[in-house]
Amino acid sequence: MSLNWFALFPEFFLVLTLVGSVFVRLFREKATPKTFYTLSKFGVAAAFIATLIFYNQSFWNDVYENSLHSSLFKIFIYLFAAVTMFLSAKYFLSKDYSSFRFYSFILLSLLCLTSALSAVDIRLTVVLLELGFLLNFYLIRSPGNDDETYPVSFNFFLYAFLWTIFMAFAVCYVVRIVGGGSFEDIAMYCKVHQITWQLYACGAIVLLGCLYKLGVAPFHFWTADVLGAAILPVGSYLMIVPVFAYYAAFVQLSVGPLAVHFDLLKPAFYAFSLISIFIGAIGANGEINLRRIMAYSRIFVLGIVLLLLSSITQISIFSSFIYLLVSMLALGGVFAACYALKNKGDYLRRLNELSGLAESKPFIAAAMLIFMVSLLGFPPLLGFLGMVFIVDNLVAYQDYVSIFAIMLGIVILAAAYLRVIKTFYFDVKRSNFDRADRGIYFMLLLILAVILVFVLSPKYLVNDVEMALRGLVS
Amino acid sequence: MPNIPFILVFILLPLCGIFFALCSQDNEKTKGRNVLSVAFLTVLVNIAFIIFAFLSVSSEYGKMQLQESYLWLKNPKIVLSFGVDSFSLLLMLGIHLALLIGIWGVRKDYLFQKSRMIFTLLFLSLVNGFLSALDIISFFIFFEAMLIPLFMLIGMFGEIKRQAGLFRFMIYNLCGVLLLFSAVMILYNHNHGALMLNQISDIKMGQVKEIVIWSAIFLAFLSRIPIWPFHSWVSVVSSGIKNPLVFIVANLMPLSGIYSFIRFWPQSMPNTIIFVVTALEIISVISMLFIALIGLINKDIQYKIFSFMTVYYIFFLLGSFLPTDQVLLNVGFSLFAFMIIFSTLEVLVSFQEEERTEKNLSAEGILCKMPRASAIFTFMVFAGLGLPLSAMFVNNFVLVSGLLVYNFNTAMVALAALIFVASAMVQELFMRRTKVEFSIDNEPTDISKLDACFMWLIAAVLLMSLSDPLWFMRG
Repeated sequence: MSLNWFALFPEFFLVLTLVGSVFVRLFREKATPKTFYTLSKFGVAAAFIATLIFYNQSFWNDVYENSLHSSLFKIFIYLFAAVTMFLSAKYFLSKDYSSFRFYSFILLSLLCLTSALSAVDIRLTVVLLELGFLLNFYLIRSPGNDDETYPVSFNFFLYAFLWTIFMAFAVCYVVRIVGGGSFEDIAMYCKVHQITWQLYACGAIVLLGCLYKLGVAPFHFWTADVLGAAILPVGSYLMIVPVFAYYAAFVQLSVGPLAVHFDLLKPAFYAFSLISIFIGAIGANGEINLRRIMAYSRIFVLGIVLLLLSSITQISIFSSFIYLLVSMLALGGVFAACYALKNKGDYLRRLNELSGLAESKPFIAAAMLIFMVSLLGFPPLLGFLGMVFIVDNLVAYQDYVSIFAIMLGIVILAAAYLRVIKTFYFDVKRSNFDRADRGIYFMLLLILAVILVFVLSPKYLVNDVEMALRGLVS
Repeated sequence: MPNIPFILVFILLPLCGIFFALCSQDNEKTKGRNVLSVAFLTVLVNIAFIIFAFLSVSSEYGKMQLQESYLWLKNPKIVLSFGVDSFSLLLMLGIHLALLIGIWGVRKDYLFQKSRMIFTLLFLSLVNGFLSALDIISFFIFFEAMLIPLFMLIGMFGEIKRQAGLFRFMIYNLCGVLLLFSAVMILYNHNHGALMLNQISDIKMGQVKEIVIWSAIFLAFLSRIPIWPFHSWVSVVSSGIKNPLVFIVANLMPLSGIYSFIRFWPQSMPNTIIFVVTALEIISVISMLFIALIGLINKDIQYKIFSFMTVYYIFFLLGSFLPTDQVLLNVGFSLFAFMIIFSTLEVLVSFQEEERTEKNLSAEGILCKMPRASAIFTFMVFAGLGLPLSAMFVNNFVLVSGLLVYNFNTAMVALAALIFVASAMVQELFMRRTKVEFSIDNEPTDISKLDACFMWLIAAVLLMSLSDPLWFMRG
């Protein structure tokens, strides 16, 4: 057994930064919120570069392998994490809270999530995914929360822990029956042997566990509560970053070791996707909290993604990933804009507090408008590119019912967004807004510039993603 | 002739205007003048480019020229193709002139002028893209994208009392757009790639598929025209708008529906969808008559103008469904004059209504004390009725005679509706010109000399287009 230690460089950098943060916390007296941000920034940047360099190097065959597609997912995880960390620094600076806990858990979470993507052993994958998910409990309880957050975090932990127990049982059973945990062993066993219902059930638990972590209906109940109640940095991190990891894990498991289980569960996934689309769209209409509206939008987006994945092929994975990416970019944009919505130091989230936003902060309101319109798939914005891929894919399979469901979902979701736009643009200003940090404007401009570049020349986005995902389905 | 990418210029120039508008100072001191100048100049320069483009195209209908293509996506392959013929250029010119009149009408209303001009220029850019789209994807992109500036303009500046109506209007339009998107993607997939608008009728599909797709397209285009049974959602919004520029923009939307029917709907229709056309004719004439009668009994001038416009739009729609391409250019000529007429009328009405509100006057006899406005208003109303003052005169005759030849009953009902709206407009004109005494300190003020000059210039354009707006192309 030969070990290639270079392949572990990204994880090594994350651990090093984590240890460094702990030392700074212990030994440096004047550690400001910016100190931990600076450390984490360099750690994530180093991990990102190392991922790019060692994208196809494996640490340990059949246990921990980097591939083109796992590196692609990791790259997006690091990029979005870096954006979230940059914006979070503004929050901690303005509130003057210690950022050590937040950045340390983010680094730990990134370590678990990105490592899970390289793991090709179901034991390692599940342990890392579960650990990454359970860590969110500590993130949700970051300083600055209100009373509403504690019951939410408790419920979150309770259900997450229950799932972890289920997953642990399922994985132990699979490993015992198969006689090993590597993806290849499981896939081979499922091909050769008659599969018992117990094995089917265990595979289903693992796949459904991924859906639970993604927050797809009917496992969506924690999503809106957590994203709506957590402090802004935690909300924005949980909104975007883990989605890529759980999506990637779900796809890797579905096309690899649990392909047989996936085939059996296809109708259920199809039903879940339709439920998610409608729960996401209808739920957004019933909310008055902007972050909860966006949380429901995420359920809607993931419903569409799962709809495509329910007929798992090379093209459907590619289309779903493009759609996920453009939607997460827009959702990330909305959350980035939320950092500018402050009144007397308090971050605003209720719609009635945000009326007349366009009058005081025209740029922020315009950016929000662009992101929301993009989420609805309006041309010529980036969301339209995602829509083209989705509908083109569904038309190719003559799945007209799904197209109808998506269109209906968009119309319902549009009603919620129109309400938000009305609040920002048509309503009279009720409260004053604090001056927003320049960094927030910079980040919004950057996201808008990325959207503009991809709209004008989608090849920069599409070609590389297509190439990276090519080897995923054999 | 220099090799100018005209279409790209038509689309990008308003976007450049937006950039300059964003950069220009808009505060208490400038009172929106900078932004207004940028918008006005942008529209003027685009008009100059359109006239310049006319020199490079032949005057026949349907011969697409100045074609440009841009590869947007490799897989699935999407090539955005653009091109124009004299018909689409004429509509572009008409829309530019209408918006120019609208911008002139709001030049003194400096509150939030920047946002207003930005959304107007965005709308203009998207309309230009829509009118020059040659393939179904680019056509759809601009067809849908137009909704956003429209919604923002109506919501922010329309001063609509019932905002729920605006949401229903938007959702209703969105439903139409999504139906079109589904149909476009099915057509695109069926053809395994780019599909030009003029090739759609050649596509052969199964009977059920054909019916579903054409019905979706039909409903999508219909959603832009205030036609029964959805007319009330559109009319609540369109007739409730107080700002002249926003009113003009909102009432240009039905034009997108008519233009879509003209470009998309095949002249040689598959047998499976013939019934759709019959259905359209029936609901069109019902809507025309219904809206014309409401316009006649309604006392609100905004509604009268709205009903006047809607009846004419449906009339042009019926004209475009005649089984011959010959009259389509006539539809274009009439539409060109029509857009200019209703825009000028709306600006004049808005001026009068402002005077009325400010000085608490009744509408009766208001024009007696406004000789300049009265003369132009009278000219425009008569031109709108189809008297020999604009291109509507000859071309409406051609359309009516075409309808009489192909469908006598439809033509008779359409004529009745036209007479009703004409009566409504004449009734309003005479009411406003009836001699009434006003107290000396409360007399309405006339429009300025500059306003009058501008509007007479517009009237001159109308007069020049009397027989054929493309006279300058024929030497």
